[in-house]
Amino acid sequence: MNCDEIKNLLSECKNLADLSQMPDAAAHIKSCAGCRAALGYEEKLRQGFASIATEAPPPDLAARIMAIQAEQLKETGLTQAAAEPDWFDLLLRSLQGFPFKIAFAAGLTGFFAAILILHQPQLATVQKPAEIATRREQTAPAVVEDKIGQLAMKPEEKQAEMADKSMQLAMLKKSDQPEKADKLMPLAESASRLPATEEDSDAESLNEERIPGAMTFALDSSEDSFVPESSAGGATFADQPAASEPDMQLAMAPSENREMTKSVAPASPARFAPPPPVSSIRARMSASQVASEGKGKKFELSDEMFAETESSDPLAEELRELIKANAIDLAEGFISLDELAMRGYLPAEKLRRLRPPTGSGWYLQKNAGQLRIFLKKR
Amino acid sequence: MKMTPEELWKLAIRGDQLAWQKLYELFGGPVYQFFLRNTRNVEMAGDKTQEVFLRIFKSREAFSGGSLKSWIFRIARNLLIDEWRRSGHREVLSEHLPEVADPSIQVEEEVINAIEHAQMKALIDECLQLLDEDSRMTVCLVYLADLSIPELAEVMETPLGTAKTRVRSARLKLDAMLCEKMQIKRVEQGL
Repeated sequence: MNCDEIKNLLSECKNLADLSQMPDAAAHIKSCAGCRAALGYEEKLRQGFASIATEAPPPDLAARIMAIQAEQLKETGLTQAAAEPDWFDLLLRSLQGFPFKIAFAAGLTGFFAAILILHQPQLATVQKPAEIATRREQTAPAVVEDKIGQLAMKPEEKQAEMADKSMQLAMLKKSDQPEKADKLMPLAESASRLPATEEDSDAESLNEERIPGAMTFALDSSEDSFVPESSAGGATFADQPAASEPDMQLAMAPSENREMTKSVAPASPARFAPPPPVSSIRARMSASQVASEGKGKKFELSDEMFAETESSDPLAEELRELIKANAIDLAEGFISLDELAMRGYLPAEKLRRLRPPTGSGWYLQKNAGQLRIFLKKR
Repeated sequence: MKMTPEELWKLAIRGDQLAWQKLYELFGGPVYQFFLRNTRNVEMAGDKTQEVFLRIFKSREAFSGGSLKSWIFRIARNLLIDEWRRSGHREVLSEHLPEVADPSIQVEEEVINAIEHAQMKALIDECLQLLDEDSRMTVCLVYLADLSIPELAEVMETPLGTAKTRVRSARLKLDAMLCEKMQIKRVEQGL
């Protein structure tokens, strides 16, 4: 072994005591003054550095560092549940890739559009034969609220109404009109037998005009005559809505009186939804057409949309801020989050949050001193 | 039973206070001195040491094995570089390494033997101030933090050969300064 080899060993050897384990090196050092001096110097130097390294740091530093563990564990304990991603987070994370984003957005738009179309109020059907049979003119724009109000009537309120009618009957019997009372009786009884929920469940009745207590007829085209609607699948007494007090009085009155009452009494609100004005239907249709056309356009402009998504991606922005704030000098290309974490820039929770979906990565682009970060497929 | 730093780390991140304290005892001093010798600022050295420990605990999931010491000093080195950048430091890890000069020590054995331990420590401290930042950091990582050359390569994120060259270059500068100082001392002491 020569002097150069010894000097190399001295500078690279981690523990100088190891040199004594090498017989060649030990023999050379024993015989060479220069190498002995070099070994002595090396020992002194390392001892000097060791004594510097073991110089005690300020006493308060120990307390500050000991507190880190407790604080961090406490914080983690509190945020552990929050840090766990739920299924929606996982779904969104899995949809971070560009094509999935578009597909998901289009799917959602389509879904809501379908819901909106399905929930449009339908045009009311007018049963003309029933109208003819009852000689009632179709009154103008029907008010849906009236029916809704009836449907919304509570069973207790209906019971109270029935009680009122019974009292009226009793009074009529006592008065000088017992025959009217007798006529009213069966109608009132049949009305009282009607279950309150029956008409509530009949959603289609919203679109039909019915006269309480009256039997409706439908036109039988084969015989060219009117038949009771029950045979034609129409309403019968059993499924008539409960008669209100003025309606019952109207039904009980003689025909001439009935006409007169009808002319004096305020027009009974029709019980079907008015057809929406044609202009509004057109407006709705054109709106949906525009929406669908817009969707098509979005697909065509996918690159622009991608660019918008990148610039507004809060995760990309967060990463960019982190790099800027710490003045981390990164080369253009894919960013290694693990590398940043290893270097101490990314705490665990931030690393989890910023982790890109599988198959893609954060890409750093430098443009005239500006950092641009976006998701890119690897 | 003596535990390795990595074993202590596993216990510390599960909340073992004693293990955390042991880790501080192992690395707190060298990390603090690393910052102190490189910044010459006691407050900053304390703050940066605290930040290193905070970062390692916050990034505990990022440590997937290997040398804990290398990881700690990697964070420390990055913090120091960040600090230099923030303060507009003129030289940040130049890739241009100086030519390696003649490595021979031109100091006699008796002179070296005559230097006391305290004197050597003071001389080292004095010379460290005179070194360029890059060399100083390298020297501190090897001799204060007691990193091996492969560990240094890991910390500095350079190939092993580059790490060796850096150490050699830094040592030559330091040795030259120390030898000069020792010769002066020798004259002063009349040896």
